[in-house]
Amino acid sequence: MFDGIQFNSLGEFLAMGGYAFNVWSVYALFAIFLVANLALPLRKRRRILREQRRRLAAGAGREEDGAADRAGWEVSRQPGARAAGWEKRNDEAASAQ
Amino acid sequence: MSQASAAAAFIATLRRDLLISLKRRNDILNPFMFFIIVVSLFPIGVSPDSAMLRQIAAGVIWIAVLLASMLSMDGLYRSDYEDGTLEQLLLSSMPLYLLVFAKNIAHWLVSGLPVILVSPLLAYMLALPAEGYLTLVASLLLGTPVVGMLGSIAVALTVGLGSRGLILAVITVPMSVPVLIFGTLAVQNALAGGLPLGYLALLGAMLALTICLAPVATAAALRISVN
Amino acid sequence: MAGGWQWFHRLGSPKWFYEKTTRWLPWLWGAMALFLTVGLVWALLFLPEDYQQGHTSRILVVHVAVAGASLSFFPLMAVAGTVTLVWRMKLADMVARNAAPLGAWFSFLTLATGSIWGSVSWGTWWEWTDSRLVSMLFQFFLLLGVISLRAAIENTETAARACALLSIVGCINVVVIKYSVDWWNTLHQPSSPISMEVGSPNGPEFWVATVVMIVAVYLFLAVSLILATRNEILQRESGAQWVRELALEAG
Repeated sequence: MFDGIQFNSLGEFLAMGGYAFNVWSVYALFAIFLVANLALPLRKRRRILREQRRRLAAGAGREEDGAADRAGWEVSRQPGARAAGWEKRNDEAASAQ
Repeated sequence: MSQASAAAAFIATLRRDLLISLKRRNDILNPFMFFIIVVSLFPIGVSPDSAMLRQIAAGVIWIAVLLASMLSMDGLYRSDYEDGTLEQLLLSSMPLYLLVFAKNIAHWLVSGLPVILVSPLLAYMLALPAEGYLTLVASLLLGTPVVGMLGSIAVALTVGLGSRGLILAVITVPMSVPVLIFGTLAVQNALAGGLPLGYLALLGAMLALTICLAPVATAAALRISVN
Repeated sequence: MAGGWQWFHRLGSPKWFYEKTTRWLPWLWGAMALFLTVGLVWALLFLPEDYQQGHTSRILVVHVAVAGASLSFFPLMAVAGTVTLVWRMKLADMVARNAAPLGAWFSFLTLATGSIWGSVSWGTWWEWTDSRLVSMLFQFFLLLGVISLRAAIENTETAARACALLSIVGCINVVVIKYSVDWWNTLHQPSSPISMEVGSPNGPEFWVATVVMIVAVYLFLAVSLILATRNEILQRESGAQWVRELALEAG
């Protein structure tokens, strides 16, 4: 099984017959390329799911005080101001987490 | 009946575009001047030695032509887009392919042809040997419409965008590589004493293919970006 | 009649794709790890020294595999673009959108490994007479064009269709560029000593490692593209019930 190995020692393996820089830089680039293109999507996925949960939590909070808001909305008749207030509260909830 | 009206629409678009560019002289003058200036920079930057210039003359002229056509292309559909003419063209019952083709021809007549006409003079200034002139002009005549029509696709895709100069270049430069290759090879072949009919035939084939496909793609691109 | 097309429309559903790939991904990861390990060990330890290139033939294993895979991006994007334009399938555009940057990475790595190999074999880092690298350079430029077009158009739908069209045009163009650059070079250097042909004189112990690595790189391409597409689905479908449930489950 190990007869096929082309090198007699670790030093010889690392030296690559004098082409250490060329061979190892190619394999290093290849490794960076593989790891980056697998790790970055995975990290992004975790971030997306975290943001999604945060938004859901904020949305749940909004539903709870929705009744009070609706009552206030009837009285004040200022939908624009109300909506802005909601947005702001959501942002605050998001940044608090 | 409908064939006659399509032809009429084709001619009307062609005439309209030609008249507009004749009124705005800068459209004609700018690429023309740009071409002359770029070419005249090469002897200064590379070498005034005519033996050296002779070798690069065809390539320099071809590259300068490509750059000049890219410069002029930027405004190809912009004013039509801004004043709403483009929307009218899209809504018209005439085949958009023909209208786009007419606009491409008008644009080539205004910005491509003058550059080609002046190219022998600049080739002379770059010490191109006498055998090369006919082939150079022939290759430019066949090649520049291809570049223009391919560029027209890119312009149509980016017509509504604010900053698009670089996008246009990144898309059109790689696309014009084959034309550049065969254009310069034809001239080099002629200078070597050969008969460059093969290269000119390839350029002609590219032109035929581009006439068939590029206006279709441009029409589709215009429909996508004007919405 | 509708039954025949049902699978096709289901395929276009992001949710369906997400659920299917959840089941496929472990297998793809496993296969990729297996082939990568075998390929890397073989290429680094067992690949015989080439009588001309010495140990630098180990570079070629990676280079050829990556180069081969990077040629598949424009056809892939052109097919996805056709589906986007004809059937307006959102999923096809999500794949195409993520394929462009990945393809640019692949092309860049092909250029980098190629010139590192060339620095030994040709004695220079860049050689215009190698038509493969030259046409790869122009493919790289065109991919950057697709990416920047996507970035420049704000409307997602418009960007999808514009990039789809550009991918189709670009695919035709890449083929024409490839052949014209080949032609250009054969005429400049009729008997070019430079060739990146996978070791036909070298026997199977050389090319089997390369084949294993090619399979590994294609599996990697699939895994990376699927991961990125799944992220895109989660982002674009963030309002859907199933995405919400998924987010809560994962938390």
